[in-house]
Amino acid sequence: MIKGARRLPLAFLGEGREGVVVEVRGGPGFQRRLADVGIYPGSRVRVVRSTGRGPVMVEVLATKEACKGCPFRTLCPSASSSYRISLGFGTAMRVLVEEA
Amino acid sequence: MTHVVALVGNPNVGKSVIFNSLTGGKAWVGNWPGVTVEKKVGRYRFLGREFEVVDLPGIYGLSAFSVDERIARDFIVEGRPDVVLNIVNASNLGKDLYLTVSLLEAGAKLVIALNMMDLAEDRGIEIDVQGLRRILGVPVVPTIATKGVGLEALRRAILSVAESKGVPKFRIGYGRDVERAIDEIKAILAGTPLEERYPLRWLAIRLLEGDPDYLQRVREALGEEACERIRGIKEDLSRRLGADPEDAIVERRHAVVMDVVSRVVRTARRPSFTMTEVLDYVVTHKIFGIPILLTMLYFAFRIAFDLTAPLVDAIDWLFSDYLSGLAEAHIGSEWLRSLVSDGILNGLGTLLVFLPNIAFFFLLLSAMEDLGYMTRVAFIMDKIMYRLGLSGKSIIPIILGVGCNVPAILATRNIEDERDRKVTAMVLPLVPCSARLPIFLLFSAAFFSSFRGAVIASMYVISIGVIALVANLFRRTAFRGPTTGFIMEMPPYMVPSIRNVLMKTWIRTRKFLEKAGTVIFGSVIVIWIMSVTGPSGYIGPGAFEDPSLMAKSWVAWMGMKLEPLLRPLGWDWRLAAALIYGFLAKEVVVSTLSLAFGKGGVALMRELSSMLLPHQAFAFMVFSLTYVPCIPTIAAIRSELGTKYAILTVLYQMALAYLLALLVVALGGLVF
Amino acid sequence: MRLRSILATLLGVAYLTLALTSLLNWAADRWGGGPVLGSLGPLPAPSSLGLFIPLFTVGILYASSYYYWRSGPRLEFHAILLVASILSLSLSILELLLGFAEFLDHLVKVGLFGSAGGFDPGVFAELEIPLGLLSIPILRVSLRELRSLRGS
Repeated sequence: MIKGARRLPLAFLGEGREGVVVEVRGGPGFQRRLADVGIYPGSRVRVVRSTGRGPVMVEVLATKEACKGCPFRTLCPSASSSYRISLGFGTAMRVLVEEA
Repeated sequence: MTHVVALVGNPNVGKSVIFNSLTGGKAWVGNWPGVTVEKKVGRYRFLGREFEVVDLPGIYGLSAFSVDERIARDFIVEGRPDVVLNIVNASNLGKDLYLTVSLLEAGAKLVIALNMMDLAEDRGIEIDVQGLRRILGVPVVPTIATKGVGLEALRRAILSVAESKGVPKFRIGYGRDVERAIDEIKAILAGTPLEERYPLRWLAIRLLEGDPDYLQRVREALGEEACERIRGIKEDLSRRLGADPEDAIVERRHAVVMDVVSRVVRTARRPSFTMTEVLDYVVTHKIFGIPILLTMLYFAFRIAFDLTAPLVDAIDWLFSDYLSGLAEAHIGSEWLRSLVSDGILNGLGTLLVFLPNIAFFFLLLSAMEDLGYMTRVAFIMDKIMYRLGLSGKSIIPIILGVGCNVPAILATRNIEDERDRKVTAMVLPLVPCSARLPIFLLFSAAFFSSFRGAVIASMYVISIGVIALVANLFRRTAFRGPTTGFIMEMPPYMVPSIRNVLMKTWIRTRKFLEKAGTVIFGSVIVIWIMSVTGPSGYIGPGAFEDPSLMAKSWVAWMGMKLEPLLRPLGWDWRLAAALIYGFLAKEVVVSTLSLAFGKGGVALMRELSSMLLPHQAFAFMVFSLTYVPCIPTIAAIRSELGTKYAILTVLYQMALAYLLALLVVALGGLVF
Repeated sequence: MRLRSILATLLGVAYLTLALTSLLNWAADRWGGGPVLGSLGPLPAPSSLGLFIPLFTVGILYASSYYYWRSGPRLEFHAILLVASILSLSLSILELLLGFAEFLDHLVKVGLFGSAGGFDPGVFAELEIPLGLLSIPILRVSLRELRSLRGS
């Protein structure tokens, strides 16, 4: 485990925190459904709203890979290409993230 | 020659607005073959050419894990439309381009509508449209559909692509290992009949992604042996990559999208936040969310039911006073006069007075949908709905169900979890639809004039309670098991386009009017005939004046057969008859009552209030709320879930309604 | 900034009082005879279960803006004020429209049905209407403030 990084379900990542998805637990259909909305191992998310044992609203940010060699160091386009997704509690428990 | 244009895009990109603007809103609505997903087709003419626009369901990719995606994929790949119009949210390129890239890989002749340019601008996003056009190799047209900007250019681009021969050459390089596997699979497929039906590279990629549909098609065309070889190639690749090829391909596609985005998007002035963030902060807040939701509902109900009062009264006057006066004065024949005035005007009038309520309710519903508020409602309600045994996504069908249960049952398709979907569809008939509203309005006005608002509201509260009860019961018995919860995109808030809202309202209201003009018109005539005839033969229109004559009619005969069962509830044969006919459509309950009593409006209310005690009337309201779904609803459940579930729904509802009504009467008996 | 916060808090207290009055009046009307508070100054006091909902919502939003002003970042403060003022303004516009609808309905009843019923012009003087108008400056300021926060 990398020093300082915590691995935990998305449902428990607090409001305003960012994380990198490390694992999506579930069948291929479930994984694909999440990948379609941009949640797959390697994607970065920020929790906008977390409601305890309820749904979680996240902002999906640009991936690290895309940031490599990105010409916009100061004006990052990822801030503008981000979008919001809500996940039910059950779903958010099956998405494991590493806190960034 | 007609060019076929397929409309495709993620959910919430303004697809329906573009469809309506292109076609002028005229659409033929049907179902896709074999499934009950709505198929909308419209037409338009441009520079002398005919175009047929097919609206595909909102999708994220072409992976075909849901029915919607399978329909869209098959139509694009096998239907080979002349143009695929891909609508993309300009403020959200990072997500939407994934579908675009998938479409290009599938060899679709694409035109991209870069919609919601105003929103992008508002967020400080500048898009290099020329650059995007160059990278993707297809026309890209910036539009603001809600304001009609860019539609002319869009029509031109569609025309030029429709009449060109070329296929876009955009291609994703997947790296040496994957590319080698693609080439090996291509070699297997080359020269077979599959080559004519599908772009080979795309088919090879689909097979590497493990698409079961296409594996099946290969098996059918080339036999098991080819499948084995492909599986071998895939396993080989898996070993070399040290990962699932499927993940590698999806990830690469996302990376390419992000790369494209970083090349064409310039954030000129990066705003520190957006209006959507500001509104979401308050609207989805732990404490404020629910009061705000209740306030919105309060506004909607006051507008739909109180603001429309003058219209309701004017329509009442038209039917009960003006038109029936004309009929009395100008129709000579006694029976014809009775048919028109006692039957048609009385029956339809009692129903059509509620048209303004229904139209305004739909208007507000459409406006809230277009505003982007409905998805927030699902978010806020998820926790509560979970306790009710449902999912947050169930709230959208339920709110739609307040209008009409039939489209609501079709809307359950958006719920991914199979058990959630079944339970939601089966409890939906318990949602008081607008057809049941006339019953509540009539009885609450007749019996509870001083607090009729509270009584009507209580119907909705009871409905929630009963839904919770039944859903939990189902969840604990037949549909046990964990739910996968929901995954939902939250679109940015937008000022709704008035044109689109009005169009949606009109489409929904038109269904009510069509029903009034067909099923209900027919039922009214049948009931009139059954009122003036009886087991002893023709009675004559006198039946509507004289209750003792009416008692000899077929309506009475049917009601009386059922009366013993309903006597403990204090209802007589006329109420029983009304409930029987309510099976056709709930609107008919009120029409039958006014026919059976020979009176409408205030006179009917007076008659009812002299006959029943308030708690018996309340029991009737509760019974109408919960008893059998109407025939169209049963048909919808049957086509969605199968005959078994349709029968189960009818049976549980009958038992539930009877028990609840008995309970109300028993409790009321203690008070009165 | 300070003045705005005070006005918003006062509005919050006013709306919450009105909400409570409406609820108590409604309950008293139903079960205990006459209303608890017949009027507030020259204006009639509300008495409705339904009206309690928007009054309470606006009240709690405005009142809690004080908390955000004291402790929270400015963005949240203005976000709350924005929603509160939109809702309260919508409520007063709705009440005005409902007043007109009632008047039109009266005309329909007298003109078409020939019934005698009277129209009470008091519907135009309900307290929510002037209170909603007080929200206009708050709405304008919070919009302007949010816009300037964005630009920075």
